[in-house]
Amino acid sequence: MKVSSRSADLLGRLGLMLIVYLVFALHLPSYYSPAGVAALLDSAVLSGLVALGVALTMIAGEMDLSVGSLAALAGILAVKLFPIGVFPSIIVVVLVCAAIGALQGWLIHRIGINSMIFTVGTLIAFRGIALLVSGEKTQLVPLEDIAATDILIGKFGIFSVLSLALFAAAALIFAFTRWTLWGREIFAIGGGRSESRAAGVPIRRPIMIAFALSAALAGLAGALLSLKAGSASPLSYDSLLLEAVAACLIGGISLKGGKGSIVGVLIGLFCIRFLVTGIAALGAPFWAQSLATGLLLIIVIVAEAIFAAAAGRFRLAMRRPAPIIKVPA
Amino acid sequence: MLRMTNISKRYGATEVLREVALEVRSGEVMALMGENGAGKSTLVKILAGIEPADAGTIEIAGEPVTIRSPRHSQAAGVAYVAQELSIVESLSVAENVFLGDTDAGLFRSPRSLSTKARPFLLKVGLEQVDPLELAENLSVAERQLVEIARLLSRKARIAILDEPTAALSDAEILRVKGAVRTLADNGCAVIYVTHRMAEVFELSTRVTVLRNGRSFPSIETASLTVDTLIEHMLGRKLEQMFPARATRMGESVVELDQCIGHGLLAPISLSVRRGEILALAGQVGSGANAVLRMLAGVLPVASGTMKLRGAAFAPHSIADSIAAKVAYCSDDRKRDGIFAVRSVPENLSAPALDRVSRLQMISPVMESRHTRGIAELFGIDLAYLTRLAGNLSGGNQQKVALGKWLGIEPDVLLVEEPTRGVDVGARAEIYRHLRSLAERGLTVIFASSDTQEVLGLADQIATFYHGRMVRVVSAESSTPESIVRDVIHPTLAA
Repeated sequence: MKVSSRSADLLGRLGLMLIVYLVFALHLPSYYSPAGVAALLDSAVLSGLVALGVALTMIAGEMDLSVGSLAALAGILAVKLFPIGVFPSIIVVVLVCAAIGALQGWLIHRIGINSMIFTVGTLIAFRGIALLVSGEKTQLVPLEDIAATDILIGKFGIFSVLSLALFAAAALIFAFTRWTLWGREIFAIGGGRSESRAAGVPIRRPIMIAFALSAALAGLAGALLSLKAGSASPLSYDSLLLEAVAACLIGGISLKGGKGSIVGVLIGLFCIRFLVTGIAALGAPFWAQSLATGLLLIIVIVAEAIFAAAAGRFRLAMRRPAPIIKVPA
Repeated sequence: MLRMTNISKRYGATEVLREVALEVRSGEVMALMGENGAGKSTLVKILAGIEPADAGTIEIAGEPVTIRSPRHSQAAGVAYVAQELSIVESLSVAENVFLGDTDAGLFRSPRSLSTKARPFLLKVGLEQVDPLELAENLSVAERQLVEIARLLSRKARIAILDEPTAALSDAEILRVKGAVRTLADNGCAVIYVTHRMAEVFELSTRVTVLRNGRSFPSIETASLTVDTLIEHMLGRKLEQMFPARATRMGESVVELDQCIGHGLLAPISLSVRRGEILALAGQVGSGANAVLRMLAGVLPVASGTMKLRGAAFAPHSIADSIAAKVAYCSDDRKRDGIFAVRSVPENLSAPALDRVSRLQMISPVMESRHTRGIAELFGIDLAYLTRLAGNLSGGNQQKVALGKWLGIEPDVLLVEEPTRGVDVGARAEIYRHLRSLAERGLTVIFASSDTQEVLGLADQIATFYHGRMVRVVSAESSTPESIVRDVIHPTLAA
């Protein structure tokens, strides 16, 4: 079977992820012990959920920068709503966040504003709302009820409830982007906004869906993690966005929009997690983690550029001969 | 099936369409003809919902419809193949065929889409293309054919094709013609915009001519000949818009010997004298612009030699050509003609900052004298000198775009489409100024798809068709008919 250029691209990124994994697995037993792997998976939940959402907005040719603050706001809300029960609280928070995201998408489309600028505004504003709602204090689940959150620490082999939530979300988003009209429209408007408009794609719908899903996923991440910890600080998750965007870029989501896949996002996510966790486990100082993540991102992007240039030359050399067209008699 | 009446549209001060009427029956192919800028594309864009009309009514199958977006237009049964492509490169071919088509269902797998797309691809002769391939791997011609496949898949009542064959080779054009005939035979009303005479006579049942934004009653194609159709397109005789021709010309300034570059299929040899205005007449893609771009140093000369003032001339960049006193003004004013967000004086002094500076510091006095001098030479109202260039009308913007080059005191001025998007009054002024500059020894070479401009302004005319120079003739011995024939249908030329 012919390997398409897209699968080749994903295989390359998968290879990179495996190399990063193997490098550390050779030195760290925790990389193949069940408990270690479970911890690795758990560490990816927060930025993973957020990365899935950011990826959708990037594919649409936009960018949602407000996810970190929204996750913090969602955490506060989830802990405040804890009395109605763990799952009802999560569901309400996710729905509220989805509505906020849909509104953001609607405004971005309506005003025709650059989404990066708009979401820098909401990034700051949501942080303010989180501080307001929390009274600038860390919110705690009452100590006598904390046992109710144990359901979130449940384990099934190497999977926890949280890591299962990540993989379930990834599977749903994957199916959505691949097999539904609405999902493909997100790719279409990212690949060519005016072309899609001319072809009759309603631009507002995919933008609203992308931002609603991005906000809902950030809300889910914030609610899950805060309830699991039993506390939520209005100042948390401020570095979340950068790791999520880095995962998207390493996973092959194009900043220009229209390109990339959800599988790629997961690959990019685990590239970073394997690297950061490994460096930490080897006892390297904190700065080494940041430095290594930054270098990884730059290496991937430089490699992409080199491959693209080589592929361009190859295409030029192997240009398909003009099709022979049979003329109907 | 379709009746558009009293359609009007303005862009700022320019009136593009004025009370235009178009009526198409089911099962017929209506050719829409007219010179560049006559308003053909604007008219079909209004029907396709891409541009809003300022006034007028549209009736489809007897029902009045309001079309405000491409979706409205689609819902009314209109399908449109644009002159600019609307293919999303990062999607597969099959997805592009069904892009914007909501009938295909909410759930779609790549495989089922590709099965559904295959028959439509087959009809346009793309059977060798894998429907799962990304559209970015397709050639321009193949992309155009994918768009036509999309149109076929839409089951439209009205199909618009805006110059669908401009990028295609003859064999591919046959496929498009076949597809258009099938559409009409199935009862679709087809609007076919084209410049190619052969297609009009082969395909269309009737022709509607647009001229200067106005429409004329449609004519049965069978009652037309190439000559009568050209007459309809040109309409009026030349107005008193153009200055007198050159009285004296000097020695040869620019010479091209067997030059060829990207966009040209055959080598070009030309010679232009001091004080002469040479027109390169041709439609988009004819290669006329390529000659200017080679001289300007934008386009590499693949083979052949160029001479300037008798010496070899091989510019590698615009900076080289400016240093040789050759100025180039492209047809994309918005992109590289003016600095829209800077003031008019800043625009006018930009190419010649060293002339208005002392010790690398711009002298406001010298700059002001410089810009006023240009403004007077080119008829720019001094009141505009405080405005931003982007806020001027198209005509004044063009005066700024052209006038700024006078600052380097050029010997040769290369202009693409000197009056694109310029109203009639400013046109006449620009022609007058170009001529008076030529009288003072400037050599002007301009490329244009406007027959009247070519004929009225130039001393010599070189006609271009499909990357080849057809001939060089003197303007005095040419008629509008002979020029139009050369640039759109040279095989019929006597």
